[in-house]
Amino acid sequence: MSRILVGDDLHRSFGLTRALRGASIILDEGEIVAVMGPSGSGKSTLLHCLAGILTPDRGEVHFAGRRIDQLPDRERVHLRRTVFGFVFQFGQLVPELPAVENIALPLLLAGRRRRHALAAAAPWLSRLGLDGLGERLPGELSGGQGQRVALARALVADPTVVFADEPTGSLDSVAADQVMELLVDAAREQGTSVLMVTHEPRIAAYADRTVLVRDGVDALGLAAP
Amino acid sequence: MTFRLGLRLAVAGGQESLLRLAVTAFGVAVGVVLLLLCLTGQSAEQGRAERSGWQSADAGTPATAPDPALFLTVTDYHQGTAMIRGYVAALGPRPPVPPGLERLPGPGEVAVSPAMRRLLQSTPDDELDDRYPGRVTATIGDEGLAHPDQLVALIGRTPEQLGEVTSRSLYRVRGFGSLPSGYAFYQGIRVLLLLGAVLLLVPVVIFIVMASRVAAASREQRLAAIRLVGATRLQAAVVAAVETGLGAVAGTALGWAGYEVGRRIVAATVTFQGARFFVEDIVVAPWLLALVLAGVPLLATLTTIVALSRVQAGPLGTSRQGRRPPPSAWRALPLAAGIGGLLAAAPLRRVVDRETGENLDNLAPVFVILTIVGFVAIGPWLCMLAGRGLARVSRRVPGLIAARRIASDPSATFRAVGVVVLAVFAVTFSASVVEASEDGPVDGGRGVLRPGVVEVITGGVPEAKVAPLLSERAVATRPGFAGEFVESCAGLARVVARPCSSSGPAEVGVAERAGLAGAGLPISVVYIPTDGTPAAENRVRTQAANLVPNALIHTQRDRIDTDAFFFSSLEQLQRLVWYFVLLVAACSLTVGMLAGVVERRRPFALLRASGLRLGELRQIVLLETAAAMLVTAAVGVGLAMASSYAFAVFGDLKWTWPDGGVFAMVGVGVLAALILSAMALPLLDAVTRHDAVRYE
Repeated sequence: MSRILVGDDLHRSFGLTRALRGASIILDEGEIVAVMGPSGSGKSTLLHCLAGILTPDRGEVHFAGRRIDQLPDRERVHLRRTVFGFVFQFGQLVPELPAVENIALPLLLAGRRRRHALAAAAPWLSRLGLDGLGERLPGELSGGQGQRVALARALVADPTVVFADEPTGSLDSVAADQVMELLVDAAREQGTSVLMVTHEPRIAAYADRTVLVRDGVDALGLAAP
Repeated sequence: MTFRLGLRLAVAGGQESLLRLAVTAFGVAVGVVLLLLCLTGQSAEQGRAERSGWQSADAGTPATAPDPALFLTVTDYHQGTAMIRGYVAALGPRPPVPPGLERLPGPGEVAVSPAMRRLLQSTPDDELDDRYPGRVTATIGDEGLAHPDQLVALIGRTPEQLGEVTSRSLYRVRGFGSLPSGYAFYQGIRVLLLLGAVLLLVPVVIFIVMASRVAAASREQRLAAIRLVGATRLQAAVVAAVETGLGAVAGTALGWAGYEVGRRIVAATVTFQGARFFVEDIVVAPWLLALVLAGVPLLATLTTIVALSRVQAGPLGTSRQGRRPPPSAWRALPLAAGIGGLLAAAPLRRVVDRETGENLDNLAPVFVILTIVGFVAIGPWLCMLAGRGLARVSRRVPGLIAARRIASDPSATFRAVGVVVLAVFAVTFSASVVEASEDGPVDGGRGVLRPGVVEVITGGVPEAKVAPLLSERAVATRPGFAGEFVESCAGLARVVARPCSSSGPAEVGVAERAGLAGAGLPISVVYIPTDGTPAAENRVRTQAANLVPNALIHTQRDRIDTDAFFFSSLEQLQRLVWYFVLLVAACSLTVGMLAGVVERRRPFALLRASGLRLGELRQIVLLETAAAMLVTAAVGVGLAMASSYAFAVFGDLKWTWPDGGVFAMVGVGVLAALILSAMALPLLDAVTRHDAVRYE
């Protein structure tokens, strides 16, 4: 397996708070990695730096052999909308769009015709157990259903890497297991790498490998396999 | 206890809660300033009418003094500007005294307004001063003037001097009342101002409601946290109400202070009917001020409570109470009733007796208000149709999200654009009414004067009295049994464009009759050609005023001003209203955009993190506003024309299409409001940055 995403000696501060202090991480193609750590340890900041949402103050991020942390914002945005997928804890669905259109959003952003985008999104509804819910608005879905829609949206454009920031943080254990099983299965099926932030060991167990972050550094030195 | 908790959360909740409070307070303050300013229109015009009422006192004016006085006023002009020239002669030791003076000017004395005093000082004596024979001994105070620039002179005479004047306008008065003789006319203006105020009030109230809801989204999150620790729904509602109420009270106080500054600016800069206002006129009646100061915080608080009733604030968060039923076509009912009522009442007015007709007339404002309310009611329905239409044709993400947003909550969308759309409705409606009114006769049937000609309407005086005016080039008309006569129609044509018959009595206008000079007939009108300079015209005016004090004297300039004055003032007022509403509209749109962005801060930030460009986010916000606004504004123009047509039919007015200028003004105004509101867009970048992605 080749390395698809590398973060090396990443530093990032917010004012006086040093969120990352030399964190390093490697993600291989098709690999599922969980980033664990206590609250405030810098795990979300690490994910955001790797995904190009934030730029590190120091250190380097490489995606598919190309350094991306120094790219202009426009190019990082392009990366995020074409080769990355995202699942957040909550609140990521556009409240006015029905589920099927929320799923189709990345395809529409990529310029696909609406009819084709909706046709490509529709199978994800049954694949994720959302049959008959395609026309429901996010406010009319349960938490678990909403996260499954978010999952479908993250995967529908066949991204190279999915970044998941506490994807089950707002779900009960049953719904959380459902979402994780679907995420892992779909990622494996598509060969998509997943970098997942969580603080629950039970959720981290779905990953191939776990990286522990404490005080802004990878505490156990397990960043690389 | 809950009340105190609400207070604490509002003022001691850190920077964010203070910012929220400041935003609400600022929005409400802007609304209160605009609301109070739009309520001053009536009192401004009322004040003018009441203070200048004495200038048209007549024999029927209620007595206020034991002794009478002879009183005559004439409207005169100086370079197109109207002046009031009054003559007064006391008929006893205790005559009535007009407001603004301590005593009546005696024979040889003249009392003038400050503006007249300045004009007299800056004008050569033979052009103006000589028109007011006597010594200026007093200044008429503000309480006797319509406005600070009014030109008024009151000339003291002996009873004998005034007794020589043969005029139906010379009255024996025992008092100078406060109501003008043409009060019905002022009442007409008042009705127009009332309608204008209603048209203005709706947008301002909508704006205040919107301003008090800007922070609704973050407030709902806090309420969930309060519910989590055991607060009941009622307690949560009280906390929210206290928070909004506090912002609204602060905003109302700020708005009141802003209004005190604003009314001074208005008095110094705004003109109506060619004149500025006294600051004291730009004032709201105390009861109305009290109503606004108490009502606005109450309205804001009630709005919060009503909005909360639509939200399930549970311990684990807030959620909307499902999808609200979409607005239906039934909403068009009040609008149909308003327009239909006007159309139906029109033929009824012609067949019923006078009393019933007057009752029907009183219903006109009700029908107009019903039409406006009806338009507000169908607004969300129109927005929903616009949203669905846009969703059907949208090929890109911004269009799709904007369309779904509009269609999912058309009421919220209409709240944001409603002010602009109402402004469009109001301007188009009033433009049609003004256009319709302008079709009436404007020159009073006396023809159009040639440039440089001074027309002296004597009312019929012996030739000897106006002999100095009868130069070789002057043309005089004399009254006969069958109309007016002139020596030569060709001579008359040189001084005025007026129908003249050279063969026999004229059905209209003047008839030619040779040898008039020796017939001993009095002279009714003298036309005196001059070289056309204001100085020459003024010299003739002065000469004529001294010969026949009650003569009405005109030049072409005056006639044009007189005829067009009222309508140009109405047009000016309409423009003023339009600018005002545009300002409210731009504020409203900005607040609407702001609220929409703040409410969706998190999904927008996460979409941005997921690769949606900032430009695309801006497009979403702009499209949400523009699409709904354009559709509803277009329908608003159509409905306004339909309503004004119904109004014209009801009032027996001829309806005409508003001209291209009105449509251009509306188009530019809508665009300007959109551009001004786009100033909220930079906020989109700020609120969707990384901070909003984090959960903590």
